[in-house]
Amino acid sequence: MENLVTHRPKALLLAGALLALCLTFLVSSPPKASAAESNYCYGFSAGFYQKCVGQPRSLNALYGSGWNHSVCIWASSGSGGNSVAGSTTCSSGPSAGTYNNSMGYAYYYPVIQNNAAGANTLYGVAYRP
Amino acid sequence: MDSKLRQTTSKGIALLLIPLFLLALAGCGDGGQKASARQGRPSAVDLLHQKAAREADESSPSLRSEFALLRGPTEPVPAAVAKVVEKSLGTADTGLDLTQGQLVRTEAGSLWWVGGHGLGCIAQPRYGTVSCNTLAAIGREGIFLGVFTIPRHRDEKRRFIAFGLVPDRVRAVWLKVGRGEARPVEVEGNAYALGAGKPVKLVDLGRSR
Repeated sequence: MENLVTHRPKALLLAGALLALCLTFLVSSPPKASAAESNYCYGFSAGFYQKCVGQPRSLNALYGSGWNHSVCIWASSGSGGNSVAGSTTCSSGPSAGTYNNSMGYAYYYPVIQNNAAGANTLYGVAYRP
Repeated sequence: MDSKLRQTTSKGIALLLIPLFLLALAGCGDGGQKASARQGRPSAVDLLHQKAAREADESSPSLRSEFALLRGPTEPVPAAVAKVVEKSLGTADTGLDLTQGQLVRTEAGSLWWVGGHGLGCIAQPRYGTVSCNTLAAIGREGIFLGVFTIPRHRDEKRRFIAFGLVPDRVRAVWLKVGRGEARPVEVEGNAYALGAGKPVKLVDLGRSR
C-alpha cells in the first residue's frame, strides 16, 4: 500500500513535468516559418525615449508606428539595438507610420524607439521576402 | 505517510512551477520583446552619429560629386519641415544644418534634404517622416524613406509611398509592390517615388549610367 502511495505521486509528478515542458515549447515557439510578416514590440508601452528590441529574425523590411507620438525604426546586428544596419526612418506623430527596407535581407534585431518623453504605444512589424 | 505525501506533492508543484517561471522569463509571443526592451537614453540620431564616427575612416566621396542635386542652390528649410525633423528625430540637437536644405520634387510629393556632422536625411513634410543615414552609406547606396498612412475611417485604405535619393550613376531603381514582380522606376534629378495600396520596397538600384 505504502509503495502504491509513494509511486503514484512520482508518476503524476513526472507526467505533470512533461506536460508543463511541452506547454512551454508550444507557447513559446516562434511564428510559423511560412509567415512573411511578424510583429515585434507590437502594443509595447514605451516610456521616456524608450526603445524596444524585438527577438532576432531574418527580415528585409520593418514597419513602425506609434499610437501617441513619433517613432524611429531600424535593424540592428546587436541585441542591445545600438548598432544601425542601413538607415533609420522615423515618423513624426501618430497619424503616419514609416517603413524601412534599407538594411538588406539578413538576420537582425528589429528595433523601434519612442521619440518622445511621454508614454507611447509602439507597433512594429517585420517582413521577409 | 501523510508528511511524505505532502512532501512529494510540494515537490510536484515546484517542478510544475519551474517551467512556468522560465516561460514567464522568456516571454510568450510578443511579450518576448518586453523582456528584451531596453531603457536607453541615446536617441536614434545619436546612434547614427556613433555610426558616422565609426565610418569616418572610410574614404567617402564627396556627396556633391555623387549627387547633381546637391550641387544646386541651398535654402533654409521651412519652419514646418524643421519641426517635422525635430519631432521625428526626437531632439532639436540633431547636428543637421537646417539652413542649408535642398528641396526635391517628386511625383508623390516634396522631399527636403538636410545634412551635417556626417549624416544626411530626407524629410517628407506632408506625411511627417524622416530617414537618415551616414553620408558614407548614402554615397554608396542612396537613401530610402517609406511612408504609410494610417486610415482614420474603416472605408479608408492604407497607402504606402516609397521615396528615395540615389547617386548620379543610377538612372532607375527596381521597386516591388506587395508580392508582385519588381519593376524599374525612372530616377529624375536623383529622386524617385512610387505610391501604392501595398507596401513598396526598394529591391535594387538598377542599371548604372
